[in-house]
Amino acid sequence: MKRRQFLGLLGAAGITATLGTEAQAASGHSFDGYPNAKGVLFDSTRCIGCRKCEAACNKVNKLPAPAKPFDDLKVMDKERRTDAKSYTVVNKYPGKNGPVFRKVQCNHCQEPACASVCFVRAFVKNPDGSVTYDASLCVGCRYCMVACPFNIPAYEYSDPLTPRVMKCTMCHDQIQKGELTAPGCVGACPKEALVYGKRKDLIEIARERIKRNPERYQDHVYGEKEMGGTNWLYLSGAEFKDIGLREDLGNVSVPTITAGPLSVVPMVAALWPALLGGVWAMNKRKEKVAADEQKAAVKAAKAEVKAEAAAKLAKELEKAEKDKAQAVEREVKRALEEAAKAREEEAAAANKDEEGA
Amino acid sequence: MFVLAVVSILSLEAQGVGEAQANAAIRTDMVTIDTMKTYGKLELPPVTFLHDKHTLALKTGEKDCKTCHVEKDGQVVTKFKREKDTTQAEVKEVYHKNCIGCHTDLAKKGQKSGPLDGACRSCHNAKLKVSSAKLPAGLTNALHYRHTSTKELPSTLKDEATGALRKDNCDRCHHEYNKDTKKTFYAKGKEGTCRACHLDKPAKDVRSMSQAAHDSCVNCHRTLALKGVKETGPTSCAGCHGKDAQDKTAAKNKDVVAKAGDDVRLIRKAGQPDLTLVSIEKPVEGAKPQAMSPVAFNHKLHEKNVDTCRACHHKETVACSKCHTVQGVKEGGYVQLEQAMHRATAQQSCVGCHNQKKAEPKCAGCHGLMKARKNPAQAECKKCHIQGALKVPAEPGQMPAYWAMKPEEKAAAATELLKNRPDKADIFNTDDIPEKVTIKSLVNEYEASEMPHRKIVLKLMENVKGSKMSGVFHSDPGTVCQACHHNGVAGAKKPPKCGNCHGQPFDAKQPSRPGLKAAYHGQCMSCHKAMDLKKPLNTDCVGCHKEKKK
Repeated sequence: MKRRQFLGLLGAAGITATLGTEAQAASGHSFDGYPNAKGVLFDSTRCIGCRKCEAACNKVNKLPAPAKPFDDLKVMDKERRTDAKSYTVVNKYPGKNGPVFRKVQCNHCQEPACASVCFVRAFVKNPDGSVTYDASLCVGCRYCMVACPFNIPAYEYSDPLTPRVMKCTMCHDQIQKGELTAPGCVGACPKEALVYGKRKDLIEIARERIKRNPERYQDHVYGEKEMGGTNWLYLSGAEFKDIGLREDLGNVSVPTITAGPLSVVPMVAALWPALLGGVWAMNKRKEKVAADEQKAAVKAAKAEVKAEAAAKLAKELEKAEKDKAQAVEREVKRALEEAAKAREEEAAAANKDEEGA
Repeated sequence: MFVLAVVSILSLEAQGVGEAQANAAIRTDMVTIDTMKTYGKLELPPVTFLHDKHTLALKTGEKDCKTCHVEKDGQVVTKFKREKDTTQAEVKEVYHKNCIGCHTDLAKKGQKSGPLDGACRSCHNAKLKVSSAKLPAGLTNALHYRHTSTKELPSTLKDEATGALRKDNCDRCHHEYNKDTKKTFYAKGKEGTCRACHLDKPAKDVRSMSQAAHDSCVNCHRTLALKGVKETGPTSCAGCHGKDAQDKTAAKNKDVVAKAGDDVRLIRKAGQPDLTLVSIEKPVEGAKPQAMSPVAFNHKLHEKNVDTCRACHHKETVACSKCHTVQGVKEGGYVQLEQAMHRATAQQSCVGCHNQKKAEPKCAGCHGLMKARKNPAQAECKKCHIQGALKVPAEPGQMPAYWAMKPEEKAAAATELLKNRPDKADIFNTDDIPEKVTIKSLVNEYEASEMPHRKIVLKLMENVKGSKMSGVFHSDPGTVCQACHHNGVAGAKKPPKCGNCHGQPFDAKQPSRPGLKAAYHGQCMSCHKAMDLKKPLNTDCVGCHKEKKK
């Protein structure tokens, strides 16, 4: 593949991927929940704060006995949270006409944040509306605890070997097995402050109650839209923020918020090998070319050096020859001169001899 | 140890003082001085002025209203140190010079004083340290009686026949306005409510209700006090607008009313009888109106049970149907007669006012639960719209022309209609009321509940007996039973069992019908809560049913 072709393809892939996410966002895609999902409607105007739901939850889920008994209502003087030993707690808040109560437990979001962050899929949104957890898959990262906008999942910090994340299951297992027809807490409520049923029916019941007694209720069903909708719904006479329900969460689920950025992940995963492969190939080729060029250059250089050396040698040789010739000439000359001198001396001696003679 | 104890007691006391001061931050005498607003945007935040605090300080310094207010014709002007607002610079100067001046004088004398020169933000502070608990104040029927019956307020006019001072003293307060002379004058027989002319906001030539009340009431009270009259109306803010003072006045009113008996009446128009027929307005000639039977209405009885005319009337005391016509007209805010009489949430409608009574704890136990029923039974309409023969001429097929009747004829007709209307609460023979009802169909972890049925019924009957209104509406023996045995047949001695309708919870076909357990708990607990019963607590399970021994 030529470099130009490769870059063209890469660009096209990138644009398609970007367009894809935009189109998805513009379509207003949302998950409206499983059609027959069940839920629970909590009516705080009916709740009397008897903690029977807490006791029943403890019993049906075989949780350890609490530090203080369930008929001790003084524990409600402090606002409590769910923990590893209690899937649900009832909190007391000051109201206009005496105290008002609110039950706290997993809200079983239609699009659960805990499930969306769990990379081993230990959390599952079941078609019956419940959000359940599989301890056998859990790696204990506790991202679920960070992600939950309602601060619900709790961790068994006390268990050093096999700690689990603990939270309300809407009695999913018990109902599936036929042990219960409704969650334990719902069955135990003496005032029907909790109603178990299809989520869409519950919304209708809630609306009907508001319509019949408009002065008794806030005109809002908490959980119908909050965080993309929850399967646990709330009615209240007091403002929801005054019974410990956050009003700042918005109506969009966590997975919807994170879907945009996260949708880019597959693209990155698919295209990066190609991209990096291309870059690697280009670099590789560049290296090869460079190596070849170097070789040639070395060769040329070598040849040049050789030629130069040869020329130099020749020159040197020539010079040496010349020197040699000169030396020979010089030697010859000197020899000749010496010979001539000797001859002259001989002639002079002869002359002297002749004179002396 | 002793020292420790003393210290702890002292610190406790110190805490107590702190709390008292915190409470003092809730005041009835907060006046926001934002007069400069009329001249444009405020340069600094308005001043929150504590009027009673200053009045008290003046009293201890032997000063009085005139220290801060000018007097005009013997009347104190409510504005600070001036008769009227002149220019921005001048008004500003009046406040700064006089407020700071007085504070400086006090400070020089070594006395406690308010903020001095240069401490701008001490007065001009948007962050309020106090909050207002000012209650709306006004003249009630009883207070009106106390004003008309007192000897301290004789009429200023002479009776033309005898030459002596008039017996009634209406002229002391009531007046009309002469637009030409720009003066008020008294006109006999034209007395109306203050609010008919004095509205919430001032109009041309007419002061606001608030301004008129402070000008007239406070000044008159002050003048009387200066004369040495012992018992005068309040001159302080808290005197009219404070909770304690209002409670005190109410108690005093009650005493006076109890002593005076039937005399506590507002003077009604001459010849206006107490009984009347409330009906639709007179139809146009030839029209055949379709309407309910008129309501026989006892004005006197209703007067006794409300504090003010405003409980039913708006600013003017005129017949309801004058503005609230069958179709609705602009003068009545397009509120139709039917709505003006029946709107359940309105303050001034018949049903609305009766509903307010039903919200009182002794009634709310039953009525709180019954509120959801939007359409009352037919029989209930007839409690007011009494059907009976009105002895008035009527064409066959036409409504009796009671709108053509004279007031006294209407009164006679009303008397006739009311004569046969039962107005005493009734119940079945005590022996027929089961003494105890054992609720045992749901026995599980708890024993059966022994409900003291007869005791409850008799207590409810006792609550109902107090008033004529409840007498009229509970005159059928089975009515009180309906509170719990709802949807049963009224007047039937043996109501159906609760379990006949309330079965298992969460019946998909009857989603708004609670199951039996929740029905019992809902009924008992809602009633107990509404009636403010402290025992047994909602959460005291064994208060009603004993725990089963295992």
